[in-house]
Amino acid sequence: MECPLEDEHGVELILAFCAARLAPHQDAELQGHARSCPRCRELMDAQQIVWRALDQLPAGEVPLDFDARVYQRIAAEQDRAWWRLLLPRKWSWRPVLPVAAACAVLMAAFLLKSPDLFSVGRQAAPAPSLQIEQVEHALDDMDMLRQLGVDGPPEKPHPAERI
Amino acid sequence: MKRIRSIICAAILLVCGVALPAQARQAGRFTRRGVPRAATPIDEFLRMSPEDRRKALDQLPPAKRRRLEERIQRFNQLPAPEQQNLRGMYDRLNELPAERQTAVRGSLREFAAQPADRKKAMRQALRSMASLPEAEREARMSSPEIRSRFSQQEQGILRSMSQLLPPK
Repeated sequence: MECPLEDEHGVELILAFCAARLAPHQDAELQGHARSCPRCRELMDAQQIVWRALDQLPAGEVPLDFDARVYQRIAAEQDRAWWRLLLPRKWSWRPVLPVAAACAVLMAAFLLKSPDLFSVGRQAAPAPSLQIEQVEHALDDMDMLRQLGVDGPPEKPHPAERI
Repeated sequence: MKRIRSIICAAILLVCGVALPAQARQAGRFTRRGVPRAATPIDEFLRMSPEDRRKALDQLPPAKRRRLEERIQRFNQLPAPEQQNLRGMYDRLNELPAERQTAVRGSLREFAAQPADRKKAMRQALRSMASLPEAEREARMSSPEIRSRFSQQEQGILRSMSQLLPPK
């Protein structure tokens, strides 16, 4: 037998031997090889030490109601996703995606067509870029217009209603 | 199932296509020429944060700043209907082409320079025109009554000012 460590998967073979997972003929073959191969024997001894250490670890006691508690926790987890109850059992997000995409396209087209439709919020908090001279000129205009004293019929409220 | 899905898609598209433009056409959001109405610079100023207002006012010398603050306060204290009318006229003035705006502002200054009794007469004429539909205002301007009561210059002022009257 050629040395398994020369092979790519040789280590796995030795680990399988140590875990007693090899077929009897493989097992006997590897044991025979290990007698004449110090590298393989060294690896087998190291692995045996690990196994023995694992065997000495105390086994944790499993409570009698272990299964019941696991199932209880699974049920609690399912209850938490309450919104799933609103959806059909075979609900899938797949058909929603094209609708969402269509809405997004429509919205984008609409915003491009009239970009200031949603600018009400921006108007409410204008950028400080407003030039103070513009305010002065507007006041000049308002003063001149006020002297006309034309009341006229009541107008529809201006979007910039009195503050 | 496919049919239901198609119906839902169609409903959503219908809502997007109808409801949003309808919202955009809400009264008062657009001017008569279909241009979205912006707040006047005064309104924009009043809606600024105190910090931004302070920054804007800091650009002015102290005396000018104080005067401006007083003017803004006076405007803000006007009764709401008067503010609305002023905003309306301001909008109409600013909707005009630049040359006509200049001409109207010139007429406003001419108006201010008139004697008090003439100003009073012109105000009355403008008020009576404001109650007329726009089509009849022109006829009124050319009426013998206006021609006999007002000089050529005054008629020019009235004609100019009539562009700012609210639509009937």
